[in-house]
Amino acid sequence: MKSLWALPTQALSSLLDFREREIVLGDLAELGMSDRRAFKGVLGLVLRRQLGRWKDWQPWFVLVAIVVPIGPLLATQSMGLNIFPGLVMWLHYGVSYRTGVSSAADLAEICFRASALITWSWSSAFALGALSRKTIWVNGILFLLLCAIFAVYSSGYPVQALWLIWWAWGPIASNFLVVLLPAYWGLRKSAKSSPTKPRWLPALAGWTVIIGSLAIWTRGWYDAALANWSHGAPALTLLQLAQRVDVWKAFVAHLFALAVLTGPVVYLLAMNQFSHRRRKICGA
Amino acid sequence: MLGEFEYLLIAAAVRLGDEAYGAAILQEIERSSRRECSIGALYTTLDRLEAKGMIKTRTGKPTQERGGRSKRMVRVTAKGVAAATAFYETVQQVSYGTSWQVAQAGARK
Repeated sequence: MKSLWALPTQALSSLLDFREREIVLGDLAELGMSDRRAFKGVLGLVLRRQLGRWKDWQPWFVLVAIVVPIGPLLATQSMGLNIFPGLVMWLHYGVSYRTGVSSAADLAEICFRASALITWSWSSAFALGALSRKTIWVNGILFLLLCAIFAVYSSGYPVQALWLIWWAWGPIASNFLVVLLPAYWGLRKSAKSSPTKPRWLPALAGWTVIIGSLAIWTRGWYDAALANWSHGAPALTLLQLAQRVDVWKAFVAHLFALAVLTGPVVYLLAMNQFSHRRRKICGA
Repeated sequence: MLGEFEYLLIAAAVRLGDEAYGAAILQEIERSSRRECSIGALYTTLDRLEAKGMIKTRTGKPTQERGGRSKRMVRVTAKGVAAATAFYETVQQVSYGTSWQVAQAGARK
């Protein structure tokens, strides 16, 4: 029977390049080292290799420009999708939570926001891998962890509530579906795709901007309804709404979020266009 | 100037000649220095020496005892031999006239 260390050693060695993995595992088999020493050796090699990859600027750029700002932002943006409290209220008490916008507008807002979150998560994770392929899994795991941790802490429920109220899992479940799963999918796609420019990148960038704008626009309906509700009758005109400081602040915050979340794919596209043009000039 | 471990590695590879590869070098270093050598230190040092042009490596044939896996064969270049020779001569020069027995006795006081 293999010892407790054999399996983690095999798993850890998969982080090495294929050629090096074969050579190292061959050496370990030939040397007949104890499994514990073999594990320590492979761990040391993997750590040295991973640390060596952080000598370039790209992994740091990805960490600072994508992982740290976008992970938490996606998590907080996904909180708006939590439909469970309203659903529970309706199921238990027959009372529907009125946001002040029509059901059709509510549904449109949810659909656009969910689509935008899926697109932002996928495209950010893809850009993360494309901009720093060597550290894709370290940065990728950090990205997913930040998304998950911020989802738990910005859900509005105390962590203890997760064991007491089933609908407290709502924000986390929606975050898992529209952020974590697409982000993981984007990472996998990025790891497998060739380093050359994907043809569909301009279409993806265009789609990200359009769906993001639609999500922000429909979110404005809810903000306007809320402002109207707090104002009381008569309803505010569009011009009066635009003059309200809180509405303006919300609008600017949404616009800023849109810029940050769309940034990675637009930057990736710009970089690809730049290198494509440079290759063309060098070729000519 | 080479580091101590780099010197040990080159010396082991030179002694092993055509049979110099990862596992054999590791065993040779452990035997001659009576110190434990980690596989991580070995392979990162091999990379560093190869980048400096002091060794050349190639993938060898797979063998049965290695579970059908290939070896990383190592050959020391002329630059590597020169660097190791310079290191050895430096150690000899700085050690010349130094009595380690006297130094040990002084350190015990």
